[in-house]
Amino acid sequence: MWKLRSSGLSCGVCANFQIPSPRCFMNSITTSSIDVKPKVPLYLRPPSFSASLSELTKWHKWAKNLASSVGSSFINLDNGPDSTLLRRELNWLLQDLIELQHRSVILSRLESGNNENPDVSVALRAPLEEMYCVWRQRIEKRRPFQYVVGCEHWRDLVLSVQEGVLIPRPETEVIIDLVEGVALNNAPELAQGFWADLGTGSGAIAIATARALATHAHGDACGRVIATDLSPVAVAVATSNVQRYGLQDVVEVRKGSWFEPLKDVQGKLAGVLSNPPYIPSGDISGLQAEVGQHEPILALDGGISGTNDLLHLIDGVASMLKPGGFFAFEDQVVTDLSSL
Amino acid sequence: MNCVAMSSTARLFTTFNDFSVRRGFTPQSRCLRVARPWPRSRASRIVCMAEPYLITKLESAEKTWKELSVRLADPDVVSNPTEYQKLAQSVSELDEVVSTFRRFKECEKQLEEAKALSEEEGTDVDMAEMIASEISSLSGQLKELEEKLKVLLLPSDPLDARNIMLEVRAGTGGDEAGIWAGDLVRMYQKYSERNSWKSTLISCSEAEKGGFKTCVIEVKGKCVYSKLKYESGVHRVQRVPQTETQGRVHTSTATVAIMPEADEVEVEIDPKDIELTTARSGGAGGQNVNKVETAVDLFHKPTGIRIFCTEERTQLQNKSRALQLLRAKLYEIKVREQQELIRNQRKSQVGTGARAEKIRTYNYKDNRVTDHRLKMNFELTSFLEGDIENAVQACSAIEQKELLEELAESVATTAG
Repeated sequence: MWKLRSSGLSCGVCANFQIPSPRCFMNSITTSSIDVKPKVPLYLRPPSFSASLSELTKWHKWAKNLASSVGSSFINLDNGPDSTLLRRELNWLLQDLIELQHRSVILSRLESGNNENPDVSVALRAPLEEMYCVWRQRIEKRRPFQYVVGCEHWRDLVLSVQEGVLIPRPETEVIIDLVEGVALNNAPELAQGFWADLGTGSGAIAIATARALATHAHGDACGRVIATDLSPVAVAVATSNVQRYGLQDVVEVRKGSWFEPLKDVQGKLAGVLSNPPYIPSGDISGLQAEVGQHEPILALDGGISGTNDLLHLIDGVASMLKPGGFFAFEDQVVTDLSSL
Repeated sequence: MNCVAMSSTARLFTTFNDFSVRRGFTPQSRCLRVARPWPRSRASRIVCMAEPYLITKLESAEKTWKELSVRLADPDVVSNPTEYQKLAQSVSELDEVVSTFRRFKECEKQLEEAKALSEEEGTDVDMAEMIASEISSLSGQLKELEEKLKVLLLPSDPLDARNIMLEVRAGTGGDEAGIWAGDLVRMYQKYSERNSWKSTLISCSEAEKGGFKTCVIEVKGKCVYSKLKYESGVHRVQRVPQTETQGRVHTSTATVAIMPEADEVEVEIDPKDIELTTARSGGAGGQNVNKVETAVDLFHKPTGIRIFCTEERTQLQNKSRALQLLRAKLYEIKVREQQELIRNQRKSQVGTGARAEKIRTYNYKDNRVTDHRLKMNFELTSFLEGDIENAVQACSAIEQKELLEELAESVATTAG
C-alpha cells in the first residue's frame, strides 16, 4: 500500500525533521561513462528479421510451456508472478516482436493452432534465437518483463526502460491525477509555472506532467518541467523518452541529487513531484526477484527506515516552492510511526 | 402458402389476340409476319409474369430512385455535404434493385419475343430448337432475377454490418465444460481467419484443467454480425473427456453470446451505476512489486453485470475495453428483447436465439454435429476446424425464407 502526502501550501509545513546523513548506496550497474546510449525498445526496432510460421509456432509453444511450468511457485517464493500473468506477458512480447501489418493474423493463428502454410515468412523485430534467450532470462533469472521488451506502458504513454532505470509503477499514475485534479483544477495559474520531478528515472512523471500542463494552459504560455536524477543511465533514458514525445522544449533533464541541480529556481517552483526510494534497506532482500535482483537499488532503498529520502525532500521542499505551490511524494504505508 | 406455386398461377400470359399465325405454316409458303404484332408502350403498361405485389414495390422503388437522383443534381443539395451523403447513400442502396428490375423487364421482353417467334415459325426444326432453347434459358434467367428481386426487397437487419463481441461461457459439466469452451473459442478464431476477420482476446478467465470459464473475443471485419448471429445459444458436446479415466462419454455444454458493438449514443452508462476496481487496489504495491497486473474489474450495479478485463497493457486501456464490453452487453439485452417480440410474432426457427436454447449437439463418437434448428448434420472434425460456413448459410437461407413468407403474407393482408 502506498499513500501520498500532498499540500496546497508551501511554507513551514514540515520543518521539524532532521536532515538525514547522506546515503552512499551505489547501484551495482551504475556506469561512470558520460555517454550512455539508451537501448531502443523492441517495438520500435525495424522488422529486419524473419522466421517461418512453423519456427515461430515452435518457439511460442516452448515459451508457453515454460511459463505454464511455473505455476504458483514464484508466488510462494517471493510473491512473484504466476503462470497466468506470465502467459499474458508472452502475448505482449509477441505483440512487440511481430511487425504491425501481420500481427493480428499471426497472433490468431498461434492461438488457434492453425497449421496451414507453415512456411509463410513472418517479419520480426528481433531474431528468433534472441527470443529463446530472453524468455529463458525472464523465467530462469526472473529478469523483469519490461526490461525484456525494453518498454513499459504507463497511463497513456509508452516509455522506454532498461536496466538501471526504475520501471514506472501503476500506483504512480495517481500522482498525475492529483496534479490535474487538485493542483491545476484549483489553481490553474500553476500550469504556467516551473515544475520539478525529482529522481525522474524513465521520465514518466515529468512527461505526463508536461502534457497535463499543456492541456491546462489552454494555449497560453505553458509551464516547464525540470527532471533530475543522480544516475547517468536514468538521465540518458529520460532524455530519450522526452525526445520521443517531442517535449524537449518543455522538459529539461538535469543530472544531480534531489534539489542540488535546482538552485536557480529555488523559491520559484509551482510544483514539486517525486517517487523517491522508500523501501527499508532490510526489506530489499525479501522483495520479489524481478525487483530486488534487477531494478536499481538506488531507486528503491530508502535507508533503514525507508524514509531517508522522503524526509530530505520534505525538509527542502518548502524553500523550493513559491507561495501557493504544490507538492506530491509517493510513499508506502508506514506501520511503525515511532520512526518518524 | 407457397410463393412458387402462387407465381405460376398468377402468371399473366400476354395475349396473342391479334395474332392469327399458328403452327403448321411452312416457312417457304408465306412471308413471315414480324414477331412484334402488338404495340407496347414501355413506361406505362408493363406486362408482367411475376406477383403483382412484387411489381408494385419494384415500381415504387424505381420511382423513388428517379426522384432521389434528380434531387442529387440539385445545386442546393450538392453544396450541403451531409445532405448529399445521405441522399447518395439512399440512391446507391436502391441502385441494385432498380438495375435488377430493369434487367428483369428486359429479360421478360426477350422471352415474349422468343415465344412469339416460336408460335410463328413452328415448322423449321432447327429454328424451332434454337428458339425453344432460347425460351428455356430466358425462363431460367427470369426466374433467377425474380428470386433475386424478392431478396433485394427484404428489409435488411440494420445490425448486419456490425463488429461483435463473442462470449463463450462454460456451462454444465465442470472441468470438461471449460475445456469445451476453449475448443469453441478456437473454432471461432479459425472461422474468423477464413473470413479474414480480426479476432482479439478481450478478457478471459482460465479454467483449471484447461480452456476457459469465460472468454470474450472481439471480432472485427466485414458483415461479422450477419454471419455469427446464428451462433447464440447452448452448444452441447458428447465425448469422452480428457479427464475421464474410465472411457465413459459425458455430456457438457457451453453458452455462446453474440453481442453487436454498440455506439456510445445507443447505450448510455451512468457513472454512478459503475464500480471500478483495479488489480492493485488494496494490496501490496508500489516499489515493492513489479507484476504487470493491469486488470480492471467493472461492476454495473443495476444489472449485476460484472466484467473483468485483463488483456490490455495498461489499466486505462482495460477500463475502456471494459466499458466497451459493458455497452455491448447492455445493447444485446435491448436488442434481444426486441427480437424476442419479433420471433414470437414470426415463430422463427433461426434468428438470434434465446440464451438458453440448445442449438447444436457435437457428437464425437459419430463425428457429427447436429444443428437442431436446421435439422441438419455436419462433419464434426472439419466443423471444429472452422468450416462452419455451410451451417451459417443454411441458417441464413431459412431466415430469408421466413422473411419472404412474412413479406408475402403482409402484402396479401393489406391488399385483401
